[in-house]
Amino acid sequence: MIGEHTEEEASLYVLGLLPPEEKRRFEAAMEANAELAELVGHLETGAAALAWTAPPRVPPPALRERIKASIAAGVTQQRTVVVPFRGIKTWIPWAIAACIAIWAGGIAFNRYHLQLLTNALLIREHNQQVEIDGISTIRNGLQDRLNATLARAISEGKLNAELQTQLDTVRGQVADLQARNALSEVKLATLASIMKDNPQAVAVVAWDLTSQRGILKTVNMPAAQPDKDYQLWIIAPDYKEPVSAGVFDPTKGANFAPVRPISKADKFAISLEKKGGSSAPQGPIVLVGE
Amino acid sequence: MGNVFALSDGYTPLLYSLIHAPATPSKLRMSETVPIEDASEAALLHRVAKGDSLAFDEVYRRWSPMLYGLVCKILDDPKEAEDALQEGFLHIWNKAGSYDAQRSSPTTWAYMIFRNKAIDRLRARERRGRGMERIAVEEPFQAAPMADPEDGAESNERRQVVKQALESIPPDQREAVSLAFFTGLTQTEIAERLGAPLGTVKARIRRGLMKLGETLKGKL
Repeated sequence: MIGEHTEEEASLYVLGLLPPEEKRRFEAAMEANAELAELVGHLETGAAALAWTAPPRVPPPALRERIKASIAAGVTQQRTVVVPFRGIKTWIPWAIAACIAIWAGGIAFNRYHLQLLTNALLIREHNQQVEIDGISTIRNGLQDRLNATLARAISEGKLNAELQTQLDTVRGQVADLQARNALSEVKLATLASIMKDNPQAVAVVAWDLTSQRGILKTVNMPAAQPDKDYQLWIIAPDYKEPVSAGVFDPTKGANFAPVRPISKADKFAISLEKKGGSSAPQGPIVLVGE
Repeated sequence: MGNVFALSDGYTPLLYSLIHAPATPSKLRMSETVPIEDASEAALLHRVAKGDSLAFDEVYRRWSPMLYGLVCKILDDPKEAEDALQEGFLHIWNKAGSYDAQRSSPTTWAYMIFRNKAIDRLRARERRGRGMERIAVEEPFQAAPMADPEDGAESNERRQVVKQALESIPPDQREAVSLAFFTGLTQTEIAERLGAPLGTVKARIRRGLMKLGETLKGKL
């Protein structure tokens, strides 16, 4: 049986009105008393009624992405211990993140930890953007060359040795860009066909981890049936399921952005989905590569 | 749109092998066969606790307007409200496993998390010397349309239930509880603001919360 005094104490606890020492004592008592814990739940229901009086408001759209980025940053930060040393430009932001992690470690997952980490990563992102803007100009030039090469391959109806050479050249140039700017995470992937009736189909993906955007070009891809769409997927270690990068028209290629933040793109795949696409792959995979 | 791989397609196992080698479709969790839009709030929290980002997206879609509205009302500062919302959702992502369905409903659990995050910020602002610039308690119920019409009916129904519950308690209890919930004032400060003895204020808060909890049990 719980008396009025305890009910009063529980009410003040629910509203955060108990002084620290009394709060600790109350929590210890609650741990040992299921009836008291139940009373607290009952009072929380009453307190939450006040929350329902607040008019709902739509948060800024960018906030959702900020929250997702914070979660992704948490994942990335946990992986810093296995990232190899890649030069001074690369290790500085990781060192910042590591310092923050060490500092925060003593505070047992303090609520400010993720906030500070996010701030540090936002500063890093700002600094990188300056360099990436320059890289983007060079990459656009490469993109033009890639388009021209693929257009020639389309006119020839097959992926010939010349195209392969061109792709290798582009791949090498992207690698050079990466070497010149270690913070720019550009990945080039060639996706091979696994369609028995169309083994000549091929796709090339240029994926920029920093901007979370990419470019897709396809060759020898048959048009999708009227009720179907081709859909690009990114297979990333962050998620159990492939992440959608959107549907596209194989005659045009596409600029794409995944629906969720990606910390590392392991593989790319294209599937044939119902019109408008799916939230997870349901149709046959037609091309895959890394 | 369901988060389900088609099991009949010949190419699907290949994709599985790319992701979870040597996983097979038989390892799919049965819970994932429920379309995420139809999942209960408790089921979504369960999935978030397992790291399901799709479930987290759905939780954000359903709850962010009401939770953002709450932290805006407490903090009266858009920037701080955004920070509080971010902090609260990170808490949900990391601590969804601590939700206890025996103790409260998912929305009550979430509301109390975000309320406490916002009050912590309000008190920190006070410590920084800016003061609690907004401590006037508004009328306890303000109708406002939900941002997403899909969720409007259910939420408006809950708001109506809450409105009736709040109207069922005496005004002095409602005032004391509202002041305590939204402003972050201490017991003594609440008593001073209401011009009532501390013991009386504590009693009003207790009676008000007990009555509200009793009226709303199982309804939120």
